[in-house]
Amino acid sequence: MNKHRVVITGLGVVSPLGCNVEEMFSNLLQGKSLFQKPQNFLREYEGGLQLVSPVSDDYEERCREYEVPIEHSISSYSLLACKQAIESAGLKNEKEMLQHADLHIGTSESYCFDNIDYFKCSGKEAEDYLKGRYPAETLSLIASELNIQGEALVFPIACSGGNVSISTGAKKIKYGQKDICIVGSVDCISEKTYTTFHCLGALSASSCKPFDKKRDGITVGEGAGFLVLENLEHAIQRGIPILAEVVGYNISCDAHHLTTPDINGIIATKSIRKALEMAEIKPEQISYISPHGTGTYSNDLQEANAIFRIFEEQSEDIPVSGIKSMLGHCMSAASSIEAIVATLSIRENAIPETINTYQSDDAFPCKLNTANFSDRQISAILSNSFAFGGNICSIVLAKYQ
Amino acid sequence: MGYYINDIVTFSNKGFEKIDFNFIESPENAEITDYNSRHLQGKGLRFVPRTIRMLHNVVGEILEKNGLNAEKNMTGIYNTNDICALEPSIDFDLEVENYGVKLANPMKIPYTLNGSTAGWLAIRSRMNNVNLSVNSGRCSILAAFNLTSLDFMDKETSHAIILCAHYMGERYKKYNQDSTFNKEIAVGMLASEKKTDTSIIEVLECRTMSYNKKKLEEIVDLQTGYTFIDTDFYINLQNHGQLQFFQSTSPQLSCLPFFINNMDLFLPENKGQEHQYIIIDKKGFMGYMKFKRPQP
Repeated sequence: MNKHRVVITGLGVVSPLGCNVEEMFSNLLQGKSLFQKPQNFLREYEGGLQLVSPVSDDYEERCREYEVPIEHSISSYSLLACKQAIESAGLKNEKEMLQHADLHIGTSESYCFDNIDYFKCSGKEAEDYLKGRYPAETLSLIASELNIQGEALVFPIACSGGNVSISTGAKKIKYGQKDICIVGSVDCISEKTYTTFHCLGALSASSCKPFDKKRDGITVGEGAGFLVLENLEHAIQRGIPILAEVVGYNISCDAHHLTTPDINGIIATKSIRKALEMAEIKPEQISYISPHGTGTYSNDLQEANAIFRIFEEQSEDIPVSGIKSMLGHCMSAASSIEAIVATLSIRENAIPETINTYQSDDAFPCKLNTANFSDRQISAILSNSFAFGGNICSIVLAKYQ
Repeated sequence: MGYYINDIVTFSNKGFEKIDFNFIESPENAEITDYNSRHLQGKGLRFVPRTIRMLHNVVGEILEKNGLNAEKNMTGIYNTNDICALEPSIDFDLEVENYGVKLANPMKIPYTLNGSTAGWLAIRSRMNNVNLSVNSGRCSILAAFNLTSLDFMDKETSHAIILCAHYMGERYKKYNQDSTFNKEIAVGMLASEKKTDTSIIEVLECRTMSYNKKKLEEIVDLQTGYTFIDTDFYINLQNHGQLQFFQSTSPQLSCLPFFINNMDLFLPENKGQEHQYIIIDKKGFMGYMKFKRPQP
């Protein structure tokens, strides 16, 4: 079967460090973070409220610029990021191409974050309320707003939703089903989300410290990241700049526990290995790793073990850029935003450093390189994401040659 | 790329032998009497939502009936549920609302996520392969069929269990006894690369897209075979030959599993023809599947 090459031609983002890809990337390279106490939360939390990472102040201005309703919702976040991605891929005025495109959105449960209202209704009212909570309802809204008439899919897979969106979009282009797929993920901070992480004891008391010995949990973030994936021949024909290539991916499940990863990282290792095999890239050819790096004990231990199994003695040299230390954990949006940062790193030949990480954990099989990134030529990047339910998705992006 | 639907397992609070496109009404306090506890031994089940339990039963039966326990690592799980995580999500919210954050039970949290269904099933069945939750309204099964074919092409899997379930939860049942939403059913379909003696259909092609009448008329234009249209609103499609309409009363389940389950009734004669099954969803999604019955 004839396989097509899959390239990235457009990017769009809504993030805590800017609602524009260039601004976000520049802030990441400067090591900025804008964590703050959550606003308008009504419940009482033992130990008080921890820091969160909401979308940046320029959100409203960008919404006005792109004619997106100014709302704190996954539909507005998605629309803004999608419109930026479409514009940067030069598709804004290509209505016919957009009509034939597919749309993939990863998310967790933000579409039903106002469940409290449900308690107050019954009968027909309750039925109508439930109908409005379907993930497909939001999807339908976004697809029709963007006039995308191809396949529209939601992947409610939480933290790995973005990488799963990218992988499935890449498959469709690879096997000739589509020329263009708009893929990404989105999530919002809500009191519900914050409460769930609080109850799980997963929130950091200070700020996210990926791979640090004193790491104590995540900092909740929010946002959206969308990429335009395109068939290489199609992109060349359009004469649009090619930002990077999707060369490998793998979706697996560690089948270990619903909320705790297997700290040995056996299936994570398998997933990374398979993604590299598909990319036909040897571990030593990877320029840097964009880890899941949540700053929780088990997640980071799992990932460190998987990295060591794959990269062996090279593990202590290869840059590990944990940008959740600056953006917070944007839940489902995290992996697509990380893919966007990886793409920009390829373009700019620059890697954001992991902040808040000072001391390696003795439990790790090796000391990971989280800060010494100078003088690196970036040709290929591995990006990992892990989710509740044991879902693992690794992707490999490479410089287009 | 063609592949085969080799088995379909359905599970509900009543039997599932005859065609019933109104699905199965679930009376209040109904018990799942024929619940197969063989697969449900062990602790930690107290907070597992009923939908997941029903689907677990389905997955266990598919693996066992088809001798797939040895091939679990080449078998993917595709969950197409829509809002089954809503009831657990509401449950958790209610607990927080009533007792405060401090006393809310964290054991309930994983089930507030739709994706945890496929994760839980993988954990219980020790399946490490592709694990996906996908949704596209009532066309979700067709979307999963398409993703399955892509995974077969990638050589990542050789079997896929495609799942869907419908259960609105006790609270909903209590307030909405007469609602058409008030159903309780779980279905699993086994898709495989290879044909077997039990193969029900060969899936030739699947796509989902947004609905418009012009597109529908283009799709329906088949030279041979039947076109089955699964919709809950009236569509005037004249001059399109052999059409058969279904009506589903569930907001998230199409009639497709029931159609496959009763293939002998709908297509008793196997002339090797290609047929089509089209789903049209009120939310504006449309999907089609080209298929044929495999020759013996």
